[in-house]
Amino acid sequence: MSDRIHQTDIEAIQVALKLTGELLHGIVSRSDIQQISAEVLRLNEAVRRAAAGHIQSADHPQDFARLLVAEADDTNRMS
Amino acid sequence: MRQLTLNQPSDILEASITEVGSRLRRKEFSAEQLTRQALDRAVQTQPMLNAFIDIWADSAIAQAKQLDLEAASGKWRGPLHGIPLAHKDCFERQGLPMTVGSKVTGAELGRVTASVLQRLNEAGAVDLGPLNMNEMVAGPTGQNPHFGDCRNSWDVDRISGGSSSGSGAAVGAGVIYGALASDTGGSTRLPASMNGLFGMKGTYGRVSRAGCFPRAFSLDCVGPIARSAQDCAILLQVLAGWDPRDASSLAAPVPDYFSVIERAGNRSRWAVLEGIAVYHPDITQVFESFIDVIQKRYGQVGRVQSDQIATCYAMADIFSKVEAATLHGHWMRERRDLYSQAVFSRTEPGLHVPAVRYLEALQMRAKILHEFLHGTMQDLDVLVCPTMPIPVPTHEEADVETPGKVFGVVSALTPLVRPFNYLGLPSLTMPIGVDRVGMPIGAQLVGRPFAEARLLSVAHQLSKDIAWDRLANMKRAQALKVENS
Repeated sequence: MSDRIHQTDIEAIQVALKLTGELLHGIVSRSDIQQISAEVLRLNEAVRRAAAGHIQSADHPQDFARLLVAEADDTNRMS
Repeated sequence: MRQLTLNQPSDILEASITEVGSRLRRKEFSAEQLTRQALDRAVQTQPMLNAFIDIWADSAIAQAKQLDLEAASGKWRGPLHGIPLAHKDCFERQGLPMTVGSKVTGAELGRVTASVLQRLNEAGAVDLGPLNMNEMVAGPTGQNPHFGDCRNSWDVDRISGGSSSGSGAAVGAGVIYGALASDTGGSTRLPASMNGLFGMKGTYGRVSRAGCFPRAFSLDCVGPIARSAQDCAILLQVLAGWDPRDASSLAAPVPDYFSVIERAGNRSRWAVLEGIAVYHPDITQVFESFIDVIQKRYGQVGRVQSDQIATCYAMADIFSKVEAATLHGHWMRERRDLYSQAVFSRTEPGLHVPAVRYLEALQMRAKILHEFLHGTMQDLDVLVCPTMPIPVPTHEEADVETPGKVFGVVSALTPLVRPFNYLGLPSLTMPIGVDRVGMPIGAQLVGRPFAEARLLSVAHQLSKDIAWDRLANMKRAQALKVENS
């Protein structure tokens, strides 16, 4: 995203986010909505880009815990 | 000029847990005497550091007396029998208040004592009381508008780090021998690093979170802060292991961390993890000298980069914000004005991140971890980088209550630590030197899953190699401050 488009997007989305907070969550913002908008767009873009094309039907969140155990360092079995 | 009165090297409060434990068993002094000494130090340092939310002198002395009675009848509970500790105020104690550094939760009492506190109690530790922290376990600075800011034990004009701010400051000041901390995006490692200490964020699921107030359950890791790798090992030994009360707890073996500390790191294969952030010149200089020390002991240290680190940071950020917004939504509606500006602002984006993004971060996690272990960490045992890219800031520089400043301060302090919460990998910070004003600099050692024994071992050996002397460096930092004033 270029800075120019990013700024345009921030301006475009801030009204929506303000309303989302109030109408969907019943929470009135206490922050600079422009800054919140920028943060949401940044996070959204980073994760969307990383995930694009990589999610497969067999992926499951619990694979993570299983993998941690399966890949355990040898020293964890030392005595 | 405000400066903390430092302990003398010969003070019993400066001894290692092993040494104190031995002397207690030899009856050189009692647990009560030791606890009274720690309480005196807590009271003495509190006006400068504000490390404690409350000092529970009566209950600590009662615990110590009970432990002395048990010892007199030949019963020693465990390796921490009679050792004064204190803990971040985010762990429930049945029937006792827990503030979480916030006014939002009010005077709610703990329902069931946190599993880690139960384990410490069973091992004989004395609990001096709840330690200061960032509001709602959120924030890397130690700033707290409700209970007052916590201050750095090396220089009270600088931040303690957070969110386990009191844990870092109280251990750093030689009040207690160790403390529980929790780490969602660096909250154990940052205060440990900023106070010249060792702090362990274990593998996700290594230590029970039951009874620990969450920031983000997908990321939170409970762990110890202590003054040496050996002390960390003793504490982790008590804390680690599967817990039926914590659904995310993992059933993996728990080695004897202390007894393998001399050898678990032997023949470790190392690389520097680069390309994440630009470092302050002082950090670069001290860190590169440290790499030379690693090479002398362990051989060639390569250099690697990972495209995934920035992604991991963003994914962790999404977890943190969305899970926190889920937990806090009710309070943000009903008690919005009781939040600090910083915590409210940092939680708000979580209301707006699409559910699909959150689930993508969740579903991608195993895949990214697999790629990291078999790509960046292929044929490697330990990755090393600085813990922070910048020196310890002053309170003014890191004031997150200034409107619009919180996101910048957080991203300046956390780029090197937060990614490893997403990956779930064990990460240990250790002190490696000081900057030009004498403040401590830390290195972060990252291992493969459940490599805590290896990390503690290499940190122990390298600490000896660099002849790390916390008190001497603290004294020098104070002298430099006088010189430069």
